[in-house]
Amino acid sequence: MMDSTVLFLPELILIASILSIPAIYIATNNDKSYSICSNISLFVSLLIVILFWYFPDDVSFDKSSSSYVIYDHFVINDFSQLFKVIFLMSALAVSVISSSYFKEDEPHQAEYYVLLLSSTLGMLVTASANDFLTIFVGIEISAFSSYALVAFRKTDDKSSEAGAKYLLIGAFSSALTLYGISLLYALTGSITFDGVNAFLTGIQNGVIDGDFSELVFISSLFIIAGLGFKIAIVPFHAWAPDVYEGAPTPVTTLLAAASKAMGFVALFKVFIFTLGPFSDEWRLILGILALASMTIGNLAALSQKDIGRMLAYSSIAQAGYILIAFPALTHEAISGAIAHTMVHAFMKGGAFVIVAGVGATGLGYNITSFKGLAQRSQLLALSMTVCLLSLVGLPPLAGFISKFLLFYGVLQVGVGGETWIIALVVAGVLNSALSLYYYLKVIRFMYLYDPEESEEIVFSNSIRYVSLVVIISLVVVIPLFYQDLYSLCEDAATTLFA
Amino acid sequence: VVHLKSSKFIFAIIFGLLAFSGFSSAEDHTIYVGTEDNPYVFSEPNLVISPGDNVTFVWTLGQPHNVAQVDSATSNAFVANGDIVLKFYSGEPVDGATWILNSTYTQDEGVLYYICEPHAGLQMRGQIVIESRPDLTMELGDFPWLSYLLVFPLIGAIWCFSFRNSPEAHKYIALSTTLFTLVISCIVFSKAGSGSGFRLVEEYEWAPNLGVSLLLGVDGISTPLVLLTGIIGPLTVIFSWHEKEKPALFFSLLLIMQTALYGVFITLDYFVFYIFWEVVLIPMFFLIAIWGGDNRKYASIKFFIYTFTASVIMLVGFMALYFEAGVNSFSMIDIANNSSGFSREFQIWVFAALFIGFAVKIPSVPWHTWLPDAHVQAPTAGSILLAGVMLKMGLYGLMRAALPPLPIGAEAFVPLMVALAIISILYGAVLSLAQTDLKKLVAYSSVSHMGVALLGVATMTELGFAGAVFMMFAHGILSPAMFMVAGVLLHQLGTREIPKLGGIAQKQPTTTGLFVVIFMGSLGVPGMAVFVSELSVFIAFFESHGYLLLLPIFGMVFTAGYHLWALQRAIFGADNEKVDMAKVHEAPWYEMYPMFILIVIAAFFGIFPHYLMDPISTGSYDILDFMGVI
Repeated sequence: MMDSTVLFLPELILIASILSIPAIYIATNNDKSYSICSNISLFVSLLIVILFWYFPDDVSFDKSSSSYVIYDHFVINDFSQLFKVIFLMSALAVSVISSSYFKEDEPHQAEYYVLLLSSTLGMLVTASANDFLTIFVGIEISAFSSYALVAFRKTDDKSSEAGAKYLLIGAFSSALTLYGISLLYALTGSITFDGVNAFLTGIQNGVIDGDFSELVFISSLFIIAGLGFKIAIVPFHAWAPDVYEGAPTPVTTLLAAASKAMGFVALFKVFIFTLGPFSDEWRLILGILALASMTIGNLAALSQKDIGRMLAYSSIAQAGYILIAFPALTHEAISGAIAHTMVHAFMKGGAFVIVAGVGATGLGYNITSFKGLAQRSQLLALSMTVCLLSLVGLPPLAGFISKFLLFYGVLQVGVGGETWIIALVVAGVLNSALSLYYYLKVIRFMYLYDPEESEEIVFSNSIRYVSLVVIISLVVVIPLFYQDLYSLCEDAATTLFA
Repeated sequence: VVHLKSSKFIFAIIFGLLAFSGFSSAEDHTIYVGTEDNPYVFSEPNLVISPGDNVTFVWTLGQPHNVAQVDSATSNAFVANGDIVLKFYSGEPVDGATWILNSTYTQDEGVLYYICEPHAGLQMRGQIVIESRPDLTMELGDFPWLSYLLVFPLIGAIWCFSFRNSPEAHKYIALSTTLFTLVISCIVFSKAGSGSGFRLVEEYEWAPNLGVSLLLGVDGISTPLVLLTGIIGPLTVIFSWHEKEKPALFFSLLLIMQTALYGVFITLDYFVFYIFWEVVLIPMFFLIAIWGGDNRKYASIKFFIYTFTASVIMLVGFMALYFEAGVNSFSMIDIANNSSGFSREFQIWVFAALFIGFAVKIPSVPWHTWLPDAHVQAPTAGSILLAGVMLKMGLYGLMRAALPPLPIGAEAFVPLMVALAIISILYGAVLSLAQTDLKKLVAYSSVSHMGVALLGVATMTELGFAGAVFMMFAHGILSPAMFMVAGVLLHQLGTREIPKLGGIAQKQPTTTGLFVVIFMGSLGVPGMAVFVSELSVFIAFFESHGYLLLLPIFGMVFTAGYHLWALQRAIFGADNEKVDMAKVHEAPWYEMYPMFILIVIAAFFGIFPHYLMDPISTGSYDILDFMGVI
């Protein structure tokens, strides 16, 4: 048992760091020390997660199946580790750029980093959760920290408003999820994913008597509504533009990159792994929601003037693309969905990093504030271009690869006989073409216009480094090694279909 | 306003004519016993089918033949001299009755003979040849010439950009890179020769799980386009020798563009083909957006969105092909070789998806509207690449990626393709006549010329295909020359508006001489390359569609009209007061030589077309033979 507890080390490091930042606050007045503490702890946990992957034998991490920690509330497998890497990388990027985003005398920086780390901790717990209770606790740890993070700038009206909206809607959605879970618990008498899955399979196989399809249908509806708020799909999306616009941009980066992926982790676990046997009850609903999300998201994004709102609507559309893998429900489709969730974290996070960088210099968050960015900084303009074109899915960028894998998996089901799924794919590619328009608008402002003010603007080094990493991963690493990316996602998907 | 109305009129006429011409597709083959002209012959006495196909014999209604149906209850096929012989007996005819020769008799390759004796001494004979479709073949290369085509321009682009602070170095780098790739293109052209099948094939694994690999190879269809890309490269660089705005970035983008174009023409893998296809857009977008004219922001975005939308639909078609072939490979050769089981419905849907992607790039009416905007706003070098090479991607893609695996779908689309081609020819020519901007005129003339090429493909004959590819090459040589004419005038006089030009011939006699030859070549004077291709296409079209040929021929009258009229108004004529004659002078060397070289090439291939026609014919024959059309 001792060995398995080592697998809990990344989470333990974050907890230690969360506890030590207040201590540092008491001991010293140096604002830099909190960010250093947070950077180091996130980096070390990331390193440990990756090391586990490469040296599974030393920590008795069973790659072929799953390892359990704390009885079996925690599961460590390819799926959880893959997403932990994404969460920790996004959180690390956010932590790195936060120090340059805040002014020297920004108050409450210690609290900010504690909240950032606890939000990340919640995501890690979600990735490893093996029962409904743990996943709920994980989501809530993350969500409560983000409510406070969104409203972090108390003096800023927009930030407070966004925080209040996020809190109210978040609490409402949690209640819905919880009600869906309680219905499932009442039906199956179990809160573990394996237990519920076994019971439902039993019903399908006729081992357990009774027609419970309506009950499963209702509880899936509640869970879709609850988790739908987290991943911001239509019609549960209304909070996203306001929150993305109002929150401090590094926090928006965290919400767009990691928090969204966390919602999908929960969705994968609940629908693919647990409710898989009753897929007929929820496939059509998710298909329709996917179609609505991508179309409405893209249409609304066309007319946005605030870059944060535009990217929020683009996020809603992207959630729609990922969601089409759920009705397809095959190993290939889910692998593609996992790949696109991962790459989406990179490109959307990358785009928000640039937005934070531009916003921090006082240029503002309007799309027009990107005018002439190419003349101010070639690197940031190139990075933004790469992120946006990648969101469109233009080859040979990473976004094309992952979108291709996603549509590839889904279309396979469509060609295999379920023709309505082909319509989802066609809607997806047409929406990609539609989205090109508003992304190009930003690119046009960056390259074809001169800056409005000629004053010299210096972008902080941390933003430049992070955007360089984003460019390299989106242009070189992921496209060149996409075979490896795909096998990672396939391994992760395998654990869902176990 | 006038031309809009006339275009609707043309639409109506052409669709009317096509409705009369009629078209039958052949998945299950049908043989009529007795035709309208002669009741004593079979409608298709020499039918070629694939193994396992069904053949239905139909007794023509109301014909006075007295051929009785074979009695399917008795033994109606027997073996004589090693061949299966069907025999029809005379007797009471049954109008409109059918008899099906089912697949048990058509399993093996060979020849089926059938004889019918309506009277003593009168024998109707026919034969059914059963042939399986030939496989597309390939021959591995012994030296990675094709990878060099992809690698060198890319290295040149990076090299060029790294010298962005030096005043001169980047253009010499760009010139030497493009000249070097021209040499490799010539080597590829001569090495590939005019043999059948894909040559110089190289394969590098990329993602074996998905069946994606970098599969490179050329055949007779692609080598002329590789050569064309090679020729246009250095000429673009020379023509932009004095580019002043961000020259290093400009030349880097030209070189990236060249890499992507080579990639499109030499890739034999659907996935990689799609990647290169889209990568072409990015440098072109920036070329138009940064170095373009006044309305460049609108034009560049329209160009990007238009072509991107079309190609994502094409991507869905590619994926459908991949799944339906079921060989776990995106290789065009593998998918085509395993395409015999594609159903008619599937072929039509997928061909429609691919056709949308290609038709926008060609561009065919009604998806041509991005082209005039992009052309007018693009810098001259951008226009040269756009008209010279990029427009060829559409038809090349149609012939390479869509036709071989989808013969039935293609056949079903022939009427539509013919209609669109004829409309493009006429509409493009009529619009050219109405233009005052010289560049816009050339843009619409491109629509018209590519219409001729599409018409060649739509004939589904070897000569038509060859004419189409030859047109791609010829137009790729002469339309850049036309854009150079517009570029020369713009540099000297600051305008391309025809009414603001005129009377400049005397001040620049040599340059005017070149202009005249270029215009003559473009309108299709014998002895220049365009003539060869137009002639081939029209002969092929006459053979397949008869007197419908009058419509495209009629377009040629407009073509001659707008070329000569523009030449007369812009160059010759009385001195125009609006022209500042002090600015008019002979074109500088870096504009003169590219035009001269293009004329020499166009004349060379106009007089000795067989150097191109030999490989093109072999490539066309391979595709049509594979499709089972000939």
